Formats: sequence, C-alpha cells, structure tokens
Amino acid sequence: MSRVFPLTPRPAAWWLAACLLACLAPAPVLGMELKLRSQLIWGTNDPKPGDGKCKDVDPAIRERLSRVFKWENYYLVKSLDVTVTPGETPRVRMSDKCELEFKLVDDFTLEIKLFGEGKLAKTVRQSLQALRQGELAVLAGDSKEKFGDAWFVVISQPRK
Amino acid sequence: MTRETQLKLQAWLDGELPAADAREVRRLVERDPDAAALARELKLTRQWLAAGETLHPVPESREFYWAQIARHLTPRESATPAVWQPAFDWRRWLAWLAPAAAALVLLGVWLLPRLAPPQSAATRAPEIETPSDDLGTFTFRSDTEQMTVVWVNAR
Repeated sequence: MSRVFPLTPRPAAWWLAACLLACLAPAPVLGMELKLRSQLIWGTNDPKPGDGKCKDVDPAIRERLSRVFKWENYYLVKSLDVTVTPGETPRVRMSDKCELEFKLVDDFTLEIKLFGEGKLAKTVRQSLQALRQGELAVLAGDSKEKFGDAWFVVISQPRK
Repeated sequence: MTRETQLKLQAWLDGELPAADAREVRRLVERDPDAAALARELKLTRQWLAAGETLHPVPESREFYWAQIARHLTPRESATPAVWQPAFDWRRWLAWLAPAAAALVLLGVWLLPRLAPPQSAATRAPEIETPSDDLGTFTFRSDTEQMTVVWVNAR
C-alpha cells in the first residue's frame, strides 16, 4: 500500500506563512528613513567673496541652477544632512533667519515648512518618488541684503 | 439438569469450587441419577485424556515462540511494505500550496498601494500653505532640470 500524503494544508505551513507576513509587513514602515541634504545657496553675479564663508556648490547642482536661473555664480553658504523618519519632524537652521522643518506625510509625500525669522512662511509638499529620482526641491527668493542677488534652499537626496 | 448445573459439576470435579458449593454438588450427585451419570462420564474422559493423549514435542523452545509473538506485536516501520518513492514528489508540496498562495495574495494586497503612488500624489499641488499675507509665491517646474521651484517674494 503506497503512502498517501495529506493534501490538506499543514498547520506548520500556515504558521510559516503567518510568520513571513508578520516579518515583512512592518518592514517598509519601520525601515522608511529618508535622508535629505539641505543646502543654502547664494545666487549672485558678483565674484566669490574672500571671507571664506562661501564654498563652491556641487558642480552638478550649479549647472542645473544656472540653466534655469539668470545668475552666473552660485555659492554654498551651508549644507546640512537630515534624516526624516515617520512621526518625527526634524527642524534645521540654515541661517539666522531661515529654518526648515521636514515631515513625512505618507509613503509618497514629504512636507517642507519654511520659517523666516521664526514665522512660518511657506509649506510645500514634494513627491518622494521624484526626490529619489534626483528631483531638486528648491525654495528661493530675492535677497533683502543685496539687490539683484537671490537665496536658494535646495533640498535633495544625497548621492551615495 | 441445567447447563449451569452441568458447568458447576464440571468445576466440582476439577476442584475449582468453594467448599460450600462443593458440598451442595456432591449431594446433588448422590441423589440425582443424571448428575451422577454426567459426573462418571466426565471422570472417565479425564482419565482417558490423562492416559491416552499423545504428546507432540516441537523442536523450538518456549522462549523462541514468545519471542516471535512479541516481535509481531511490536509495531515496526518495516511492517509497511516498501514502495518506491520518487526523489521529488509534487504531492508533498501541495500541502504548502494553499498557505503560500494566501501569503502571496496578502502580500500583494499590502504592497500594491505602496508601490504605485495614488493619483492624488502625482497631481498634488506642491504649495499648500502661505500663511502670511506679506508673502507672495509662485511655483514652476523645470522638467529638463528635474527641479521644482517655489519662489517666495516679499510684497
């Protein structure tokens, strides 16, 4: 008499499937960690100041900015890396007057709040998918300190 | 004479009855001719068996027979006739098919909305709030440079 294998699902198989799902299900949520680079950039037609406060911008970003905006020179004033995790709203100070706050709204959207002199100036939302594909989220404005110049806050995902 | 009485009589002859019952059966044999006849017949049969039955000795010992009995009573794997088993038996995997399919379906249901952004995410306006009346903003996007710009102007 040949042995008949049970065709009904085994309890062990169900347990294995449940454990697999339990392990996989929370993984993307817990592992979702967005690394961002926030750069304060000065746009001007003047030469680089000699006080050493400004550095050269990453050539790739400078090229992209110069193809969109009219300024000839772009200098890096400050660069900060920030990690955004779900449920947390990290805030970074880009200058004495400018602060940024980040928040993951959902699996697809990053919310960026721009604070000027401590007051909320603007809230924007950015697609995470676009950021991952190299999109630059730029908040910019005319300089109050020097007529004709501009400031840029460029938010991107740092290249690995 | 009933069957029960006959059995009792047989037990009396074999010496298996208690004393009180044995006395009663003896009295029955003394007064009942049928009982006496049966008792005589049984006695004779016992005598004939004791004298005339031939013994048939077997070559194997008593221990050999008990060992054989014990061996057959003990369940063994080899009791099942060996059948050829292929190296890969798909029937063995059928038991895992339903749980695996269920896990895949659940995983798909869970992953699908996460892998594909909702339509609202693609069309969502990048600007959502400008709380200050002193500020004016406009937004534009450069597809060639992959850049979304929100320009903030003081009024």
